[in-house]
Parts: sequence; structure tokens; C-alpha cells
Amino acid sequence: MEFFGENFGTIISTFGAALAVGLAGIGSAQGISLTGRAAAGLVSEDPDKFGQALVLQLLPGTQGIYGLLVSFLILLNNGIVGGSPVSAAQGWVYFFASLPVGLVGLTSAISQGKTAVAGIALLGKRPEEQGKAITMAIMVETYAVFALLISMLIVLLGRID
Amino acid sequence: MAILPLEKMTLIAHADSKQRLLKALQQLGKVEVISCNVPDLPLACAPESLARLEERLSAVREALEIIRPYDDSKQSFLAPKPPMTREQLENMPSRFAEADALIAKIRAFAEDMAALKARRQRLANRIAALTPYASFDAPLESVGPGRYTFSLLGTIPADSLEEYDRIRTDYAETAYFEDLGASRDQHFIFVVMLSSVQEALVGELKYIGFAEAYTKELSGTPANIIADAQKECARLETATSELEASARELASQKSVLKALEDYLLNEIAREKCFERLSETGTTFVLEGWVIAQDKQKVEDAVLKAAPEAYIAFRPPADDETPPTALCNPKLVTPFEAVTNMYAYPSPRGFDPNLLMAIFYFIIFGMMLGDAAYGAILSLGAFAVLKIKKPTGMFRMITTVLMICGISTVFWGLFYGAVFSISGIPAVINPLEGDGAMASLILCLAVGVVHMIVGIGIGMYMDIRRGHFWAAIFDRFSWIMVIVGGIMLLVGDPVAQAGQYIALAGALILLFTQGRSKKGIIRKVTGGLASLYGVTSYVSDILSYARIFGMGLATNVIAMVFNTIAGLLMGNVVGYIFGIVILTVGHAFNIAINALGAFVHTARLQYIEFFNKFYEGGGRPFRPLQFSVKNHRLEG
Repeated sequence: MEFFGENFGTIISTFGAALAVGLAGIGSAQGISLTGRAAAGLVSEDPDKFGQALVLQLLPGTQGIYGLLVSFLILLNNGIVGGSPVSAAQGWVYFFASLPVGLVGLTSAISQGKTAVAGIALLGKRPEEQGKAITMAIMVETYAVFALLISMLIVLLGRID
Repeated sequence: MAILPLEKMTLIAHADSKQRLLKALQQLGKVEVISCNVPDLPLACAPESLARLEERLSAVREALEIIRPYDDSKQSFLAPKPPMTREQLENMPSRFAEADALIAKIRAFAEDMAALKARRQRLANRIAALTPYASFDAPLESVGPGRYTFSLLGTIPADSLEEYDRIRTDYAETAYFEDLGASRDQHFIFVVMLSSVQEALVGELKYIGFAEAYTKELSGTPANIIADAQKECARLETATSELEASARELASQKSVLKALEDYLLNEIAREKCFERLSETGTTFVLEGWVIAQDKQKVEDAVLKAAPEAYIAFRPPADDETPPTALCNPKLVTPFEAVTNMYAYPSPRGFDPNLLMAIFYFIIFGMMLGDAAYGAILSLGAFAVLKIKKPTGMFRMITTVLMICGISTVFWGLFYGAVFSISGIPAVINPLEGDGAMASLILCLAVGVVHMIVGIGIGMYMDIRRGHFWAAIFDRFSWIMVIVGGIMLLVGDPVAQAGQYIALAGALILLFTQGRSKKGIIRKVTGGLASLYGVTSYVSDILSYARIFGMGLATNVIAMVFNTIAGLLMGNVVGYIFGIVILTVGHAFNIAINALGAFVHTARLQYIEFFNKFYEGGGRPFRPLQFSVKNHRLEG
């Protein structure tokens, strides 16, 4: 701790910001990739379904956005983009804020991608049921939204300085 | 906001009126013809004309498919479908000759094209076969039996070279061998031999894998033949491109075929109804669904077309399931698309669209939550509606976005969000300490109201069906628990009252939820188990926190782009890059968050709202009418 000196708060919270966007981004990239491959298969059979498949492919992308969001909120408060350098304790709070959105984002985006892949299979057989395919994939997202919510509440309300 | 009552129509008329009557019904567009179910009466057969119509339709589609690759009229995404009036549709038979001529031309084109292609292929094969022999400088007709000699042109496999060399030395006195060249696995050779050794030498060559080249019917040296073939190929290529130009010309006339396709689809839809009629020798029976309020119009139209007809209406019997006909105000109709994505309302259920639309409007606006974005969304959707004049599902969704953009403007101003530029006054600023909590509570409050309305609809349906006590015991009790529970959180003296309300609700549940079970112990456990349902209500309420999350997501991502652009905007180059980043960034943000708001709002309707009361499983009322695929029907 001494080694980092007075900058420790800023450093550890920036680490958190990096984790939030990094982990959630990895998850989203994987989820979108899974879905994209299935969608390409569907489009090869029926090019007209591109638009419908694209909506499903985009769904696992939101986790990465949630990660970006929390990451930015942290940077806005810890002296990197805005605000002023923070104490070590405050830095830890921001670090922990990054964990829900980062970890849940990583796993839920991949799981959501798998659900969306199944949805694309559904689209291939019954294109009129797109709404149901989307709803099933959105169910997975609920937990990413909850994680985002808690992450944001910690950043917005967790002022201990 | 209503599901219109339907009545079943039974119509009996003389067989001669069949065609005329169905045409009149199609023009009216208010009757869904269903399969007749009259005991002992056979179903009618499809008229012979149906087969002819279907044949013609497949000819039209085949012709359209042939010219599609040559159609240069690149349609932009925003280009509207061409308009068409009912008269134009009905007068299509007058254009049959024009269409048939075009179809004949297109078919002739396809045949010419195929013939050209086959000829080019043959020439290409010939060139490929002769190219290895290009260095053979005698005419091909000289190959074969001569007066004293016999000659051969052909290949031997590369791995038989050793044997070939042996044969060459063996026959050095009686034959002449020439190497014309080699490919990777074959050698091309020419052999001239005395007739006396023909049998033996040819036999030995064949034994090591010699294959004679196919030179029959060819004359001249290979080099000349190849040159001729290439010339011919070039000529055919010109012919092909001329033919393709004529196809482009044909493709530019496709509008008549598109119109004919629409016409035929309508004719086929009508003639297919024939198979649903029952008939005797001289009369037929038609059954169908009619919206009750259209009865008179239908009757008038029927009697006009067939004055002798007998017509009767009756409400659906208990074992019959009519289709669902919805009637909503013009502003609400587009929102039916959202409900239909989930399930079409049951004809005996409740049409949720009006209430659903109100909450959809509010929640969508809160989720997108930026005044500028809302304005852009509304104006963009309005422009698409005006320019493209879309139809069907696309039109509905675009209209939903246009309407919800207005709500977004309102909520954007409420949250002080206009492109997320800082310093705009807000009623509640969700990015500031207290504002975050306040807007989260606001979102949950909207959710509670949403759910209570859902439970209320469930109560209404119970009471309408005569289950008054079920409405109180199973549904109102939950409203008491929810409302009381929330009052508990507010603090005294409200909490005092809330305590009793929640308790009363819980007691009702405890004593009534086991009522259908037999035996006192089961009744008690049933009541206790039902209280566990409180967890699902709590999780439903918390689910509305996503409104807050999505709203903040829009704002913060916009702030990210603003910040990046702000960092760049130091000099002229920076300004240019900054403006590019702002434009692309905000456009991306609108697109991704409008999609997010659309699907998440829909989810709140499907899971949290509809599960309180909704009965799906209906099928839409589809009357026999004029509809078009390639056009916009006007008038």
C-alpha cells in the first residue's frame, strides 16, 4: 500500500474501471460471435431474415455497454476523466462496484448468446415467432441489468470521503 | 379497446350465384369463410379455373425469377411500393395479353440464353481438349487409316513412360513417334505406323494405357480449329451480352407481372374458398365469421349479389372458437404489434392493447430518456412513414417508435437530458446522489402501478365471468398486500395503516387459497403456500429497476462520446474529428438504446404485466378481401 502512496485510491479504482469494461466486453464479444455464426448460417439459407437475425445478434452486446457505462462512471469520479483523486478506501469502493457488472456481464453475455443462438434456430423454422425468441434471450439479460444497477448505485451513492 | 363480438353466418344460395356471391364478399371484405360442417353434405370441389390460375401464377413467378438478375432498377430501402387502386386490380384481365406476351418473351429469352450457354460450353470443351495438340501441324482428317500407314493421336499416362520408350525402340523400324508435349500426368503423342504392324502396335500401346484423342468430325490443324473456336466464342459472347441487354429491357416492364401476381393471389384466395362450401346439386352452403356490427352490410351485399339467398346469423356456440377481431383507437392500433409478438388475444379474453399502449409509451420514454434522442426518433420514424409508406408490421413498429419518441422527449426534459449535455436543469437528475435514489423509486412506482392495473384487469375478467369472490380472494388480496407492504416502507403514520392492510390481505390469502383443496390440512397448507407467492411479486417489482438502468445507460454512453469529442476539440482538425465522433456516436447510441428500450419495455409487458391476466392463443380475424403484396392498395 505504501508503495503506491497517496495515489492508491485512484489506481485501484482505475483497475476496477478496466475490469468492468474488460470482463463485460469479453462476454459480449463472445456472445455476439456465437450468435453471429448461427445468424450467418440462417442467412445463407434465407437472406431475407438478415434483419430479424441481426436484432437477436445484438442482444448479447448490451453487457459490454453496461461495463462501459460503469467504467466511465468510475473514471468520471476518480480523477482520471473528471472529479479529483480519491482516498484508498473510496478507491476500494469503486473497485468493488466494478465486480457485479464485470463478472455477471462476462458470464451472462455468453449464456445470452447461447439462448439467442437457439432463438435463431427458432427463427429459421418459424420466423413469425421472433418476439418469443427475443423475449427468451431478454430473460437472461435481467441479471446483467440487476448487476448494472448495483454497480451504478455503488458508484453513485457510495461516497465515503 | 375491445374485442369485437363475432357471429357465425350461414348462407344458402343457388349454385349459379356462387362465383358472383364470393366476389361480392371479397369486395366487401368483412366475412371470413370457414370450412362448412353440414352433416351428410359433401364439401364442394375447387373449380377448374383454380388450377389454371395457379398455373398462371407459377408462370408469372418463374418469369419474374428469370429476369430478376437483370433488373437494374435498384430499389432503395426507402422507396415506397407502387400504388394500385381497386379498379386497377380488378381490371387486370384487360392486361392479360400484355402480360402473356411479356412472359412468352421472357421464356424465349431463357431458352435462347440456355442454348447460347450450351454452345459456349461445347466450344470451351473443344478448346480445352485440343490445346495440348496445338503443336500438331497436320490437318486432323489426315489422322487414321492411310493407304499404307495408320496414324494415331492420343495420350499415354506419365507413369507408363518406361514401357512407352521400350515400345518405341521395339518398333523403331516400322513406326514414327512424335512427342507433342506433356501435362503433369499425361504425355501427348502422335504415332504413324505401317499398316502391317497396326494391330500389334496399337494393342501394345493400349495395354500401357494409351487413350486415343477424339478428333472425329474435326478438320484442319488443331491450331486452326482452336482459333476458329475462339472466334466463335467471342461472337457468342457478344450475342450473350446483346441478349442480356434485351433481358434488361424486359425486366423494366416487370410492373405488369407484379400487378398480375397480386391479381392472381386474390383470385386464388377467393377460389380456394370454394373448397370450404358444402353443396347439393343445385344449392350451396357457406359458413363464415362476421363482426356483429357488420351484419347488415353483409346481408345487403349478399342479397344484392344473390337475391334468392337465405342468410342467418347466430352467436358462437360454446364449443366453437371464433377468431379474434380487435378494435382500438388509431393511436393504439400500432401497439397491437407488440402484443401480437407475444400472442394474439383469445376471443374470450381481454384486449390489453389500450392499457398496454399507455404503459408502453411511458416506460419506453423513461428507458430511452433523452429529449434530443426522442425528437430524432420521432422525426426519423415520421420521415420513414411519409417517404416509404410502409405497410403491415413494419408500419406498426415505425409508428410505435414515432409515438414513443414524444414520451422520450418528455422524460428527457424531466431528467434534464438533451444529448446528455451537462448543466441542463432537471426535475430529477439521476446522476446526482439523491436523484439516483429518487428516480429508481420512481421507476419502481411505475412498475407497481403497472402490476396493480394488471391484477385489476384480472379481477375485472373474474367478475365478468361471475367469479366475484375469486376476484377478491385471489387478486384483490394481493393488491392489499402490495399496497400495504409499500405503505410500511413510508414511515408512520402511514406505516401503521399499511401494516393492517397488508395483514388483512395476507389473512385473506391464508384462509382462502386452500379452498379448492379437500381436507382441512390441505386447506391450511394451500393457504400458507400461496403466501410464498410474495417472492414472485417482489421480484416482479424489482424487475422494473431495469427502467432506471436502461435510462442511465443512454445518458452515460452519450456522456462518453461527449467527453471523447470534448478532449479532441482543441483545434480545427480536432473539431472535425470531434464532430464525426459526436455524430456517429450519438447515432449508434440512439440505435442501440432504442432497440434496448423497445425489447425491454416489451418484456415488462409480457412477463410482469400479461402474466397477471392475459389470455392468448387467439387467431386474427382474416376476412376474404382484396390484399396486395407488391403494391399499396389505395381507395
